[in-house]
Amino acid sequence: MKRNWTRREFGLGAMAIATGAACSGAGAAQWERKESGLAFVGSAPANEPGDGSIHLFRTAGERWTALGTVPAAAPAHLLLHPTLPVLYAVHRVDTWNHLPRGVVSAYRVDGHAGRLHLLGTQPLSLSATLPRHAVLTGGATHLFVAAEGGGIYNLLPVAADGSLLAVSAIHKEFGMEEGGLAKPAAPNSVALLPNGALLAADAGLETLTRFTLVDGTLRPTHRLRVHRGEGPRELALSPGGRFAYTTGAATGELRRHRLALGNASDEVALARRFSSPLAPAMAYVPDAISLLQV
Amino acid sequence: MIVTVSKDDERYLQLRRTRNARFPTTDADAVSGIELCETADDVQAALQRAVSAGKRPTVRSGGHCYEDFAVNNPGGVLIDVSKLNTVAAAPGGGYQVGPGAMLGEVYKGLYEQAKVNIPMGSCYTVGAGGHLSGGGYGLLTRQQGLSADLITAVDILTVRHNGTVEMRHVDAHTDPDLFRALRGGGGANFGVITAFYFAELPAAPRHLTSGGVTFPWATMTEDKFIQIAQTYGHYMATRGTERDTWPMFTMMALSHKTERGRINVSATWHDMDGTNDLRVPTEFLDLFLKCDTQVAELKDPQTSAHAPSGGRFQMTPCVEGKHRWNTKPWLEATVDGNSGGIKGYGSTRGKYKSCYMKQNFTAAELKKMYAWLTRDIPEVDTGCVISVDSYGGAMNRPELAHSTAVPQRGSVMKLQYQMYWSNPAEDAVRLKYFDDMYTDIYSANVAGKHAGTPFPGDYYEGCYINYPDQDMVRYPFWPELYYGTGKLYPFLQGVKKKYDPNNIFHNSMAVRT
Repeated sequence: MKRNWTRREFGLGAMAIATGAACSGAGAAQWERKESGLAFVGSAPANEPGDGSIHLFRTAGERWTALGTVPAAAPAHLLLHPTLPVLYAVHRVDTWNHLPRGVVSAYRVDGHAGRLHLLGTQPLSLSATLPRHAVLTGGATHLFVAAEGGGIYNLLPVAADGSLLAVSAIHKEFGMEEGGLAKPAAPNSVALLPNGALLAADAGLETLTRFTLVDGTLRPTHRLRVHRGEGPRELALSPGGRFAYTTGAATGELRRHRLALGNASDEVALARRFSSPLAPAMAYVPDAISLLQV
Repeated sequence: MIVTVSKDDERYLQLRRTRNARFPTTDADAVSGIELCETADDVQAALQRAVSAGKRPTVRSGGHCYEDFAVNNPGGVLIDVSKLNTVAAAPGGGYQVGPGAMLGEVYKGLYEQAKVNIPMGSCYTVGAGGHLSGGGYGLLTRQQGLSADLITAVDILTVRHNGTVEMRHVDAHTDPDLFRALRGGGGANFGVITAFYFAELPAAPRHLTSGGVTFPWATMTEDKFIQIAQTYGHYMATRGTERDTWPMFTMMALSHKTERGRINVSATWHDMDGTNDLRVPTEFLDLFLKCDTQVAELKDPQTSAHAPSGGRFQMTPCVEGKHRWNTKPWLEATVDGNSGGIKGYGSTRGKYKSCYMKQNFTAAELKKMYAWLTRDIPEVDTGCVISVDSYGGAMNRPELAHSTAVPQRGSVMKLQYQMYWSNPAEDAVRLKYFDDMYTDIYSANVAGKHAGTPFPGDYYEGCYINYPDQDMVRYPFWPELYYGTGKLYPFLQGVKKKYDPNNIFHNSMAVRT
């Protein structure tokens, strides 16, 4: 079991998160090609929201070569289109164009020149603030975004060129009351299940929720209470989708959940204090669950 | 019974919008369905259904919202409360008004029942829900206060942390913080209102008498424009603050220059005791004699018989002490105006801005107004108007700022900037012109980071939340424009967190937490 990757290890990984000490959050993705690879690292300064950037690197084995930097609002999470040379950035902001909402961007990747070209930026729905994570749906038809601040999920259609269209569906969660205490919803990590359903971790509701797309709308079809008392923060699936791994939002405890037809069950604790709240993301790589915290 | 109208229903396109044809902005911005409710129980069920389904609920009563708050709601649910239009005696005494009651229905219902009145606006079809919760003002505000000043209880549906919808009856003793917030804090911030209550209401006037003076743009100069406006403003800031003038409502319509256009000044006197003594409005209109002596020499003076079609006020030549008054029984004058688009939603697009003024106009700001009102948008019939309403009087009692959510208790005039058009292709140029005009005018007396806005200070007292203007959210201090620089906005934020912890009820200018 690995803990805290180094930058060297990150270069070897398929996907991970890297961030500098001055950053409040960051996302990274690596676009691999046979002849070379490109890696993207997002950074969002804690004290200057909206003044982040995406750094491009060409990778060759363990060697990383900086290619340049693209200004970006606050890229807390990056992900790549499965077939198109398009990179998506989820910006963790609470205001965009003076309205209370987050924003996502799409960039065309010029692999030969090592450049990013902005395809477009789409605001999330009102109240969908502080988005933290996203995943592409099956066939990459939509981007599914978790907005932690507003307790909202947004669905944005993906155009043929990979650019993002306006939000087409919203699911607004409400919080929970228990033992005289109340917590707001806080969706913070999402994943695509092999059967096309979507899995979401919510630290506020303390749940793993399976969503299905029905006539373009998001419908929660199964919920499992997990990490009772703290809720899950990070979420990663095993490659075959048999297991979901989550970390506790407060303790960092790692747990495994068996998935059957996309429904989570059989919560098993694997490791205590696996992560800290500063760890921005978790990924599953062969034979290991890795969590990046630099 | 709830009538649900979904996208495949032929009624959907008609019912998904409000009276401002600008909204929904695009099909993608529209709601997925409309829930037409008849009772408070219906509203509770519809709201619970929306919340449980993860859909954003927005609310429509009269459909007069100036911005997109109700109908730009992608995939969400529009809860229509227009059928909750009860105007009746309340259980236990007093009066009850449903949020869907149109103001004209409220005037008529209360007068018929008890010869009483709520000092509300002049547009017949405006819904009580938005009007009352945003403060509410009109022709009788100087005499009787704001609509919200008179509210003594509210029934409202709120949503708990766990998503459960619950009904609250709030007043000065039960949930007093929420009660205060609902008296002017703006609609759709905290929940869905299903009834307003009034323990006591003032008597309705006997008659309403109106008259005015008019000045053609054809002979207008900048100096004359300034003289007219400052004559009006000086009166409102001085003599107009005295108690005997409060039954008078005045309006100055600073219209955009056209070949046959005019600037009109009107006075409306509310006869409260049957004497219909018109000395105060006569004194007011006489002041304008100095502004244009040629008016008295017109061979065919504009009289009531020659008043513009559909005009509410009758303009007369400016002859000292001899104004042509038009007197009607109060109810007839109040509800037969057919104002506010009673015939339907139509194709009118609109944009609005506002300003509370604490003192007379300065020459500097009037020069800017004159420049903009004489400047045309190329190839567009510019057609905008700045309506300058009288204000103050009974609603300027300072203590009301602490028991309601309307902090503006020191103004003497209230301005409403209005622009109307019907061609969607003109949206961009009109909105830019309007924004540029407003920003320039409010750079005359306001400097520094607040320039371009009527930020509360020596001259201004901010803006009216019932005339919402999304252009203002570009200023980080926009809540201070609408809710003042004191502790009101933080108070409203606390109320929001407490009673709408999930931020179910939100829009682009909602209270933010």
